Amino acid sequence: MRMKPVLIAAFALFCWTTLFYSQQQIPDIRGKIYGKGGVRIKLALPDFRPKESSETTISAAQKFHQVLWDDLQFSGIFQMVQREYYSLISPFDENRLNFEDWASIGSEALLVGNVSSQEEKLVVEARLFDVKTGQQMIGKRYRSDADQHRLIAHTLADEIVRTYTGQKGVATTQIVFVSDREGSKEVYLMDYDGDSQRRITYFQSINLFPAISPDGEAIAFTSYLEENPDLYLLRRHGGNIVRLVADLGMSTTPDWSPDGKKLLFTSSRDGNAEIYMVKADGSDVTRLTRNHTIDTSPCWSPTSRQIAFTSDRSGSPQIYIMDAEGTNITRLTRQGNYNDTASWSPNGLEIAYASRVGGIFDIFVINLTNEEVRRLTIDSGSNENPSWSPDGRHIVFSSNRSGSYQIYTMYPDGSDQKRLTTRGNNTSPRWSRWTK
Amino acid sequence: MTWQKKESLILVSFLLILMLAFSFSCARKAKPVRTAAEEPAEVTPPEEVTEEVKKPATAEEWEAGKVEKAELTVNDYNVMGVLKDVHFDFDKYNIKSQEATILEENSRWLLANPTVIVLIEGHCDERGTNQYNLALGERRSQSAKAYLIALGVSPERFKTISYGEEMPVDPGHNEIAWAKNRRAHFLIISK
Repeated sequence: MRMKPVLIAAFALFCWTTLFYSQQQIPDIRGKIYGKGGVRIKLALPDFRPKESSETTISAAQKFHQVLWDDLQFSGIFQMVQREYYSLISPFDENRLNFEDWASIGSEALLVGNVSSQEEKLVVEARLFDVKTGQQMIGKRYRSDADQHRLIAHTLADEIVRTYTGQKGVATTQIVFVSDREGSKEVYLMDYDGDSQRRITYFQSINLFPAISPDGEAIAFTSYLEENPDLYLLRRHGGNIVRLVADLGMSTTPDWSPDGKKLLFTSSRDGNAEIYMVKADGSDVTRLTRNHTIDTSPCWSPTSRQIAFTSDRSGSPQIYIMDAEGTNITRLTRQGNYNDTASWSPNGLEIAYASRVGGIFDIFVINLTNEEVRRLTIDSGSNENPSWSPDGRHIVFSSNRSGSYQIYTMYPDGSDQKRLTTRGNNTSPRWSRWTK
Repeated sequence: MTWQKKESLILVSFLLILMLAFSFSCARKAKPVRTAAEEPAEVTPPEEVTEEVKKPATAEEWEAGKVEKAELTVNDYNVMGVLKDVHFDFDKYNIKSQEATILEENSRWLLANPTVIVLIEGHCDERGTNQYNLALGERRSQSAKAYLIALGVSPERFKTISYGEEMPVDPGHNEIAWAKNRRAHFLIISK
């Protein structure tokens, strides 16, 4: 929490210049789903040259390059041209690029740059070229605190993804989750790639269902801090803990509206688990469902016009969709006899959820247009709590395939499952939205 | 520490070791048979210690319930398990007929102890989502509460809470553990 002002200071990113920018040369790959069979741009990323021979700069250049490589590889839109081919190109001079050489090893895009230390700051210069035409697509200089090589790499990676897709990448986003690694179930936060895992709550109590606000400034969650499952709000600055909803049965599963002004949650304040809406300051609690069965796990659509939720009104938990006012309730899932934890894709077209198969869960995605269902996980323990990345190219979820619950990411076709956590049991992940 | 003190300490410890070694060797010998020639060792009387000796509760006191009420704490009640858990079927929250007798016993105790306040905890096994299980646990605690109210226990004497699958009584991952974990537990919070 105390990191924020430091980060702001550190994040005095200095955007230098965009020398040349050619819209026509950018391949149009917008709106595609990237998985095993997705279209990828072949990107060459040779080492960034340390401008000074000091150990600090050399090490910073290496670390920066590795983070950038991993970010771009993860983004799902690039196929990284393997490093061993780079040695075929010689002499490599970042200021005199022979694009034919780079094309000969299969690159379509080339990213070059250098790293230097100036007045205890880390400075990175980077240029992205279209190999075919030799045109520069990005020219940037970033400056930040000396230890912020990861932040600069993430920022540059997101910018490169934006160049090709029209939409920022997710390298600067975070994942909030629950972990029992230090005893009780507490709220934790980590970078999208599993780095910088840090504990947020010290309640020595059961804490569940953390959801980070769209502006990244608050985390809503359920806690037994006062011996009852109530809804709490933790703000980044000042660290005040606000009990939003208290002492009226249970208050669980918060979900932020896309504008960050309201929350949906489950409450039994009127005697039975129903879906409610509350303003982010805790006022104006509105009841949305009226049914004698269980209604829970609400999730806003990206336009905030509709709400997906779980109800067992048909006899078993299934996912339903209703209008934001609680009207027009229709059943969505018809396969499987236990479906819960809907997560609406950012493009609004799909919903990911967990479905019970035997005694364990697997992640499924249902297309809202044709109601086709695809299975993302199979034969790998119980897989639960899917949550989309803000660009819709990844899904984070928890799985006990290793013997304990850990957090994983994958493409929305189920490919490239990658583990992010190791200690204790880690569950209930939620991907942050892009902060402005 | 002065040398004399150290010396005396060494001496004392040496003697102690000697005594121990002696008693050990004695213990290893066959049971000594007391002969008439042996003089009984002189026994020093114990230091005077005043010890409160409580008068055992009389039958009258038990009958009047005085002792029980005065001496047993809320925690004692809970440890004794005066109120028994009721168990549920997988994914269900209705009271099974074989569990109804447990609730009848619980209601009798509650009616006999009319000031006791109870927190009914609803619990689930691990095989659902945490989200749905919290709601299911809530339903289980409410089912148990409604049943006890129907048996004549006043509604104000109950509070309910759901722990979903967060507090298993048996941490196992098998049918025996799951059956134990699908329960409503009665925690006495005041009397």
